[in-house]
Parts: sequence; C-alpha cells; structure tokens
Amino acid sequence: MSLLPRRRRLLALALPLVVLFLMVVRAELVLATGRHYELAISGYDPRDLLRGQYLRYRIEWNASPPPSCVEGSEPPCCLCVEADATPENPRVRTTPCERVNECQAFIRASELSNLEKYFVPEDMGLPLERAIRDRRASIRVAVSPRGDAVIEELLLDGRPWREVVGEEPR
Amino acid sequence: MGLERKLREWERAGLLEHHVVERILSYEEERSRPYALYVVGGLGALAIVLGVISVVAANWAEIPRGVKMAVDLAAVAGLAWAVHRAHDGGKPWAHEVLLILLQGLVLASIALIGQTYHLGGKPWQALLAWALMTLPAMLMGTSHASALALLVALNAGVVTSTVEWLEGLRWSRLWLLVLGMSLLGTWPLLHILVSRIRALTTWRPALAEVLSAVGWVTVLWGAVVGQHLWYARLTGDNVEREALVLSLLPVGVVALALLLTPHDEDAPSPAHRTERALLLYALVTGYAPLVIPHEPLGVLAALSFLGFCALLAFLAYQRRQVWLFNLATAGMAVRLLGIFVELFGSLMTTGLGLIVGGVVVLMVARFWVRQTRQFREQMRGGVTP
Repeated sequence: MSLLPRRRRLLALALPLVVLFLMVVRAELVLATGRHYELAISGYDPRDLLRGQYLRYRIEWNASPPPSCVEGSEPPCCLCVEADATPENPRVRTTPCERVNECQAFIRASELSNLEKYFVPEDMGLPLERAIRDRRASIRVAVSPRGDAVIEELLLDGRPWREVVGEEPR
Repeated sequence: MGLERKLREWERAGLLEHHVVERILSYEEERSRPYALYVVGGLGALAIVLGVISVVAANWAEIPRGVKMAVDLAAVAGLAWAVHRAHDGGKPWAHEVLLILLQGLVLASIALIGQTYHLGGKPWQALLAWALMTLPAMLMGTSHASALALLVALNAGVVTSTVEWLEGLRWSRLWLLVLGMSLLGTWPLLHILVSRIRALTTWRPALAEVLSAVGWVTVLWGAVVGQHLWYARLTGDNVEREALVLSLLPVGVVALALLLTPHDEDAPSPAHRTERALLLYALVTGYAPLVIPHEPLGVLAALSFLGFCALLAFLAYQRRQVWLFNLATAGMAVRLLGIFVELFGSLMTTGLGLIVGGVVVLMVARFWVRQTRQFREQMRGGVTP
C-alpha cells in the first residue's frame, strides 16, 4: 500500500477535485461578473454546420475592416469592444493587448476560436441545424475583465435555442 | 463438479487416500462462492447502472448546469474518499481499482466542464492538465495496473503537448525533423533509463517495472518495424534521411547512457550483457534500413529479424522466462516459414520451399520442446543456466 503519510495522501487525492472546482468557479465567475454581448453568427457552409458534436459557425463581427486577430501574433493582439458599443452586435476592432484600457471590454486572441463552436446534444444536431438556417442566429457571450470569454447561450431570433427547437415539429 | 470427479478418479487409481479426498472436498466446499448469485446480482446491478445512465442521458439537456457540475464534483469527491477509505481499510485491490476509476472520472469531468461551459481549448491542454492533476494521487498506487494508467496519462499529456510545442517552433524543416526524430527515438530509451533509478525501484517497484516494460516493448517493436523496411525501396538523399542521421546523435547518447548504467542488482550477470547486446542490436538493425539507401532486400529483413529473435530467446533462456522463450522461438519459426513462402514461384520452387521450410520449423519446434523441458527441470532444481 501507499507509503505516503496520511496528510499528503489526502492532499494528493484532493488536488484533482480542487482543480476541477476552480475550473467551474472560473467559468461561473465569467458568466456572473462579465459583460454580456450578443453576437450574430452564420455557418461556414449552410449545408453542413455540424462537425462531430459541435456546431461550427463564424461570428459576424461588427467591424470595418473585419478583425484579424489570431493567437500567436506578435505583439499579442486582442479584440477590443469599442467604448461606446452596445450589448447587441457591439462594434469591435483589433488592438495590441497592452492598449486595451480604452476599451469597454476585450477578448484575448486565444479565446476567439473557442467562441466559434458550440457543443450540441447528439439528438439535437439536425433540428438545430435546420433552425439556424431558417432563423436569425446569435450567441450570448460573457466577457471577463481579464479578457476571458464564455458562451452563455445560443440564440435563435433572440430566444434560447432549446425553446425554439422544442416548439418545432421534429 | 469437475474437481470431485477428478479426485474420485485419483482415489480409484490409488493416488490419493479416501480421507485426503474427503478433506479436500470439504475444504473446497467451505471456500466455494455462490458464483451464480454473483453473476445474477452483477447483471442486476449493471442493468440499474445502465438504466440510470440512460435516464440521465435522455434528460441531459434539461438538467441545469449547476446540478450537472455539483453531481460530477460530488462523484469525484466520493471516489477520492473511497480511495482513502480503501487504503485505511487495508484493501489493496479495491484501492487500486478505485484509483484508476478516479483517474478516468477526472478526465471525463474535464471534458464535461469543457462542454458545459463551451470552453473549447485544445486536446493537449486537457490531457496535460489531467496528467498533472492526477499524478500525485496515481503515485499512491502500488500495482502494475495503476502504474500503467499513470504512464498512459503522463505520456498522453507530454506527447500531445510536445507535438503542439514543435508545431509552434519557427525552425527550418530539417531542424524540426531532427528534434522530432530525436525525441521519438530517445523517449522509449528514457523510459528504461528512468526505470533504473534506484529511488524509484525501491519506492515504486511496480512503476519501475512498467516503465521498463513499456520502454523495452516500444524499442523492440520499433526495431522489428525498422528491420522490415529493408523490403521497401529507400534510395536517394532527402531531408528526412538527413534529419534521421542527425537525430542518431542524441539517440546514441541516451543509448550509451543506458548501456553504461548498471542494473539495480549489484553483480552484473550474463543476462545483463545479453540485454545490452539486444538493445544495441535492436537500435542498429532498426535504424540501418532507414539510414542506408537501398533497393528492396527481403533477405536482410529476414536475417535481421531472425538474429533479433535468437538474441531474445537467449535472453529468455538466461532469465528462465519460458513465455518469452516461447514467443521468440515462435517468431523464428513463423519467420522461417515466411522466407520460404517468399520464394514461391513455380510449382517446383513452391514445393521445395514448403518442404525445406517445414523441416526447419520442425527442427525449431524440437529444439523448443527440448529447451522448455530443460527449463522446467532447471527451475525445479534451482540450477542457474
């Protein structure tokens, strides 16, 4: 049996629990305290939005020119939500991460790709794909003061997708 | 009952006394378990578990995320507590099984959190986090199974994050290949090297054994695959070959360190020398077809493999590992037969090939039977070969 003293053993067993708990707390904190925005989305290919169990789409940023911020760029870039932006379809621009203090909120480049896929329950894939094609689709995103972004909800005509898909005949 | 029938048979043959048979039967009866009940009970429990999973899965979308997270974290906490209780209760078997279950549940929880909050992220991040956060707990394990689970997690995390790191490097293609091939070649050797650290062999012998076994299996399997590349046509110089040659330097350094590192046992034995020869042979014959430009050379592939099997069989003989000896000689027999199949052509050569191949295989089989009998006698008598 283990040669570790009792206290160290308990610490070793508690470590994964603590880390998992912190992951949940972090995500919940972003949702609870972050600024909320609604972003319009569209599919890359309207015939096939689903990739495995994820819905893939493109965010239609309200920006001119379209933001070109990618992970790994030098200097690190962030997506800046303009100071006067509205929660719906906010105006954004690419900016160096060191100059985000003039933004209403900002999203780090590493978070951007996470915003372009949405986990879908297996049996909901096809009805959801159909609904997105026929309706105005958007995502509600929470953005933390540190630039983390978490998808809160997928919306169809401004309503949670489950409500809309639930009303439609399968 | 089969045992009773056999015992009665031995009693009738005069091999066992009646009272001995009765004592054995009564002992077995006391120790007998209601297996049928276990099976039925197990099936019932399995049906309930599957039913609960199905009900949860059917209503997955309706379950609030707070409930999902609470249940998941409670399950992790419960399992961690159960591991602790099994340890304190002196139940090593339960301790090891629960530990492996905990490790699996942690990975599932990372995936669940990622899906629930749409966190995205890359596989290497999840795997590395999983490996690191479960490492201290998994080091509590003492069995080979938990050691293997630890090693699987650690390798998954390290290998995927290393690949990601390599992809991010802005080096020339040649040096990226050199680095990649060096890591690929040294990684299994490092497993064997680490397995010989005295602190590890005394503190976690099972982990050291599994590390060594994984390293050896990877090296030997790699060598067998490499040897068979003599069948391919690999001519001309290219960047891959250049990178491979350059990567031989770090691989050679680690291999040399391994050859010079003494085993945990104090006195060097003939088996250790054979083991070193096998390692050297595996590396040389495994890399040779990749480094030397060549046309298809099937005979060299077969000879390399036969030499490899012979060395392996000799090592098994020295270590008195019958299963390994059987495996190596079976490998030789199959390969020998294969050589003659490769010579198939006209009816005449096919016939001759099969006859000669069959005779050689029979000779190997005769040698094998004789040696395994000798093994058993030596083991019984405690004679060192």
